[in-house]
Amino acid sequence: MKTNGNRPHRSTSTRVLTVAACAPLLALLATGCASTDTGATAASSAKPSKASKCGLGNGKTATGPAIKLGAIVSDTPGLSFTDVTDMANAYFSCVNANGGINGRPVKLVVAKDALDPQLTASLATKLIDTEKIVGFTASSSVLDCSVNAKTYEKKAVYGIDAGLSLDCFNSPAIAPVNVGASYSALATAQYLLDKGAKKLVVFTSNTPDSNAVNSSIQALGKKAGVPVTAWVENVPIADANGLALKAAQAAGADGGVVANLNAGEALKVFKAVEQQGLIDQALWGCPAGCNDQSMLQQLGSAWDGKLGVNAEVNLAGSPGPDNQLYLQLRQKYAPKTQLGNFGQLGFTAARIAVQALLSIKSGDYTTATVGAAFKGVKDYRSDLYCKPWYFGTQAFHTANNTTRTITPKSGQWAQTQDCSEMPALPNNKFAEIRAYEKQIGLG
Amino acid sequence: MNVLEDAHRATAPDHARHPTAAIGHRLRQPLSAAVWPAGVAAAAALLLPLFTSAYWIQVLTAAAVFSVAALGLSVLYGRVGLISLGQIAMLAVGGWTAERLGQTGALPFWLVLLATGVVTGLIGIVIGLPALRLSGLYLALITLMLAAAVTIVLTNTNFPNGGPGFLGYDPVKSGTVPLARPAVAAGDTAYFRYTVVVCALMFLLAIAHTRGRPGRAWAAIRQSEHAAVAAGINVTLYKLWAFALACFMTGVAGALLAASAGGLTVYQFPPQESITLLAALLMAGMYHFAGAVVAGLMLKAMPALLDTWGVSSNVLLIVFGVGLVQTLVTSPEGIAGQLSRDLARLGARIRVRRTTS
Repeated sequence: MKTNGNRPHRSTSTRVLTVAACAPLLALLATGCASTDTGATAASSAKPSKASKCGLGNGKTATGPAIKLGAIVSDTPGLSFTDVTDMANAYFSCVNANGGINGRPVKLVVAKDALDPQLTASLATKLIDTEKIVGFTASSSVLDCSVNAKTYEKKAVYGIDAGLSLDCFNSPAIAPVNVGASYSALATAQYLLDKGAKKLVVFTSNTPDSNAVNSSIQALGKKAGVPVTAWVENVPIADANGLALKAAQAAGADGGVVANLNAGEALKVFKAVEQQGLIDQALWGCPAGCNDQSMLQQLGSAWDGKLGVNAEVNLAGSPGPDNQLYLQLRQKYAPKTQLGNFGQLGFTAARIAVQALLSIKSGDYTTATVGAAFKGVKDYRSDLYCKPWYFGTQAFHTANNTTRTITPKSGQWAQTQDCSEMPALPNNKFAEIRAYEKQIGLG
Repeated sequence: MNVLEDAHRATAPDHARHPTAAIGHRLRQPLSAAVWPAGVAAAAALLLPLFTSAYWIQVLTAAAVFSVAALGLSVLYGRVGLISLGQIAMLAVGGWTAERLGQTGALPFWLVLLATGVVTGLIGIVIGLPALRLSGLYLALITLMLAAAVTIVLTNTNFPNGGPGFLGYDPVKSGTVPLARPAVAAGDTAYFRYTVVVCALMFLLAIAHTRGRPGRAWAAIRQSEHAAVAAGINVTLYKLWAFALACFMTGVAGALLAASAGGLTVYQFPPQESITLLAALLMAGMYHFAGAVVAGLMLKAMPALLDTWGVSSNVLLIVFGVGLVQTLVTSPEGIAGQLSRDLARLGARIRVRRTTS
């Protein structure tokens, strides 16, 4: 598959990794993790396609009682994923103006949580028991999966979400539309191996998932026969110069370094690498957290083609019909959202949910019928994805398991590696996932 | 003497600065002092579940737990004049201890609560040691650093989730693992009632202390440590006692939190939360135990209320800031103190009218 645009993302991945260690300093993170959106889109060499249509696309306003979907989204100072739900809402607005769900409007009830599991648990109770939602769409919460996944499974309420923690990818009730922090780091390490790295170095910000991320890359190194040096790094990073030097020395002449940090922290390290003249000492990579416009602007031309960043979905400048629809809806309904990754994920989750809802012909929208419809999605095709997305019947979900890699180029993101499968390892489930994909005809 | 202590003396209401005198004016018997927490608890436990949804039951359970954390701070600062910014960290330690003890499956829930309280109480004594020589700003800094240390340790160890070893954490296991609830309180409503009863017991424990010898000693220490020593009060003992009591109660609250919906995560105990707790308690009423209840509601129920109204709960940080200034300037006794005084005035007027008519 080809990708033509280049566009910054703000990734889910490293934001999750930021949370625990940055928790004492959330106020500082408000500036540290923030990125700016210039609104600029990289020029695409291909002519943009005609945008896809919203839902039925018949131009009729939906009427009657709304079909309620729910979303829990983290929104605290310095840590907000509301772009996901805002763009999901934008898509639903467009659907409601174009025939709705077989004539009925769809409504996304958004509950904002923080880093408080009691609050997150109570919001799930509120959405399910009080609001009577029939499914979840575009949830993007730091704690939701860890706290509520078992509740969703028990109550058979299904979700098509943007998963942050690993727990989101290991629930039968939740199917994320994205890759997640852990797998994005793994994909970055694979990219460095593909580029010829003879040794891997990874440092991950200190969070509950950090050891799992490092173990995953160690397993990759073992499979590839290259040594891996991995450690956990407390953030905010106090000595970026020391860390940059340590990483470069550990990597050696032919090594590759995965800086598994959020954009703000990774930028500190990469600037330190640049200042110490270490850019060419090793290959450098960063998971989807670095797919950020402000980072791109601050890196400068010294990093052109020298940094590989994993991308969860296609670039915001790509010419495909779904991306064109995303761009149109963002402009019309959610101009304040950041251009790129988060918005694209919310848009995608909503689009898949609508496709599922439209498949219910009985007109009866309950948790049971909607859950069945969600689970029935098995061939969702989009130019934002490398391959079709599906919900599936497995107890774990990572349908988005083939991603691209991008790199800075003349002040814009450019694709440096086309769609590549994430490596199947003993400590992940990609082998089973791909066997299942073959079984349902998507392999 | 230091800046915070001066400020405390300047802003504390008259009866808080001279509590023994105040108590002398309106001394209540221990039985009558126990009436309001018992009454409030009974009313809350019986009535609230009848009128609220499952969502609000979960919210109010958390509010009840945080009222006990506020109570610990109220004892330390409001009664003894010792400022601690480590109460939220102690809540986390209580939660960790309870989850680890509960993981063994050998102890009934009530014993887990008690054992957790004892553990955190002992830790409180250790924390209290610096307080023997320090107070005010320096003590606040030390306890804040302690809270930061707890956060760092928790980030590395995580909360027990049924894993092996001393830490009891298995990185492969997914999701939070709440502490198993007692059989009599398995559901959310029953657990809310259980929590309210335990919290009421904590309030009664605090009241019993302040009405007895420790309360008089604490009042004397707060007025003048030197005078207290001259009066033969064992300052070392009573300061450590205060820390032990506050940490015991907060530890029990942490254990209750561990069994509430959602379980525990390393994200929810940032050190700055203790500052928010202090601000909320100052607004709610540092010198009245009822203020701790109001503080718990402000911290946990108010965000939910704002969310219901479609207002971001982040606004509360601003509201707390403005409210704190307003409280310190116009009503140092806080909401509970002001309310108590206004109700007393109203009662007096009603009595006067009755006698004149």
